[in-house]
Amino acid sequence: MKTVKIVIAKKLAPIVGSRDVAYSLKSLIEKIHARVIDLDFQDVEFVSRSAAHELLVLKEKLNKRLFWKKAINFINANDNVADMFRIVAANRAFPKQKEIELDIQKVDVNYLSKLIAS
Amino acid sequence: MKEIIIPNNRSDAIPQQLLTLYSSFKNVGKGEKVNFNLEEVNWVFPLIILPLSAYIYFTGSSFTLGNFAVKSYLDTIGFPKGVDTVSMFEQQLQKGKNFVPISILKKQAREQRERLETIFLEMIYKILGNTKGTENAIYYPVAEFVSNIFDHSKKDEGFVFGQLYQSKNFLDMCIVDNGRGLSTAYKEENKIILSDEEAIKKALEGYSTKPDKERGYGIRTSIRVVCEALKGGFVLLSGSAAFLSIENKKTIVSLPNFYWQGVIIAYRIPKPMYPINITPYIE
Repeated sequence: MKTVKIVIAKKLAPIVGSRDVAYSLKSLIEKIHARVIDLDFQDVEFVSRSAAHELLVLKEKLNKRLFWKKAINFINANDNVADMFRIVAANRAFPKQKEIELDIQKVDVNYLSKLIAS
Repeated sequence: MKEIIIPNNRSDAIPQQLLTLYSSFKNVGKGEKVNFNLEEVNWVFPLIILPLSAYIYFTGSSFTLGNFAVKSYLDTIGFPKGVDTVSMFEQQLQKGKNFVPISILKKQAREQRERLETIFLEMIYKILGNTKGTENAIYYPVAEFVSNIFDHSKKDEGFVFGQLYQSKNFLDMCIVDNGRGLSTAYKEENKIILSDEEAIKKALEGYSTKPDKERGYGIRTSIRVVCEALKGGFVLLSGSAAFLSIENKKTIVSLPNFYWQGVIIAYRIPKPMYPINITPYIE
């Protein structure tokens, strides 16, 4: 089976921060006539939580399709990048309580002056 | 044209900076074209400089300067126009070693934006001393907050700026957008009417405007990284309210006669001296 590699650091950047990078990759992947795509994270220093989430969603979507199904593999990730994917993937499987109630004091703008004086 | 006198800061404390920002934009109408008078100012900081840059960018407002040192500094950091390409960023960097120039990230230029964000973040890491094992803690909040701009603000530009104060041993970061702001985002996406205070609280509590249950972690976890992992102070301002976390004391401040169209995020982190594991904070 034909496998094509996309080098993320070259195609995008060594730090992958934004969620919408997945859209760039999706349009690129759709143009590639291969059933297996390796996303190569060699030289990628960091992937944000949002970008990792979006890339995992993309991987699942492309693999679940009835037609033109594609298998996406993440390869050559450093420990930081791999850990971020693991954390996000674990949370997808067993989400932690996302919404919490915070007890935050409401104050008026004069509070700032008091804070500065103290 | 209305003249807005930017007051001189009496201290470098984050609440003082927020108060200066409030005084500067108080009574300025939405999108009103004004002249910002910085003649009295002899020290500036990201929480005032970046909102001014963004405001000038979108309204075509003008500014006047007095103090020569301030003038020279503002020129060095690229005020008010900023830089929006990697080559301009690199040119600006040659002017100094303790700052990362005002950078404008553009939604449409996706790959170029990722590259600019990469060199911005790498530079932040470098000026903070290249301490091994701190990269994730430094990159995480900026990447999440910038990603939020393009996910939620409905605006095509985001502004970022960082300044290291070598003698004070801390870095001040600011991230700004002139988008729809939090309460409008909840109104348009979830059909719920919230005050700015309530909208900020909802965002901090993890209520995403997106239906996906896995969304909504970014703001809260980034604040945890800044305040708990990096031991920093934090401000998030939208509309007429601001969230403030100083030494882990959290408050929401109402800002009467003030309205920021969009979101302003500012934080201060001490120079990290040892590796930081952010895993416990990013949930």
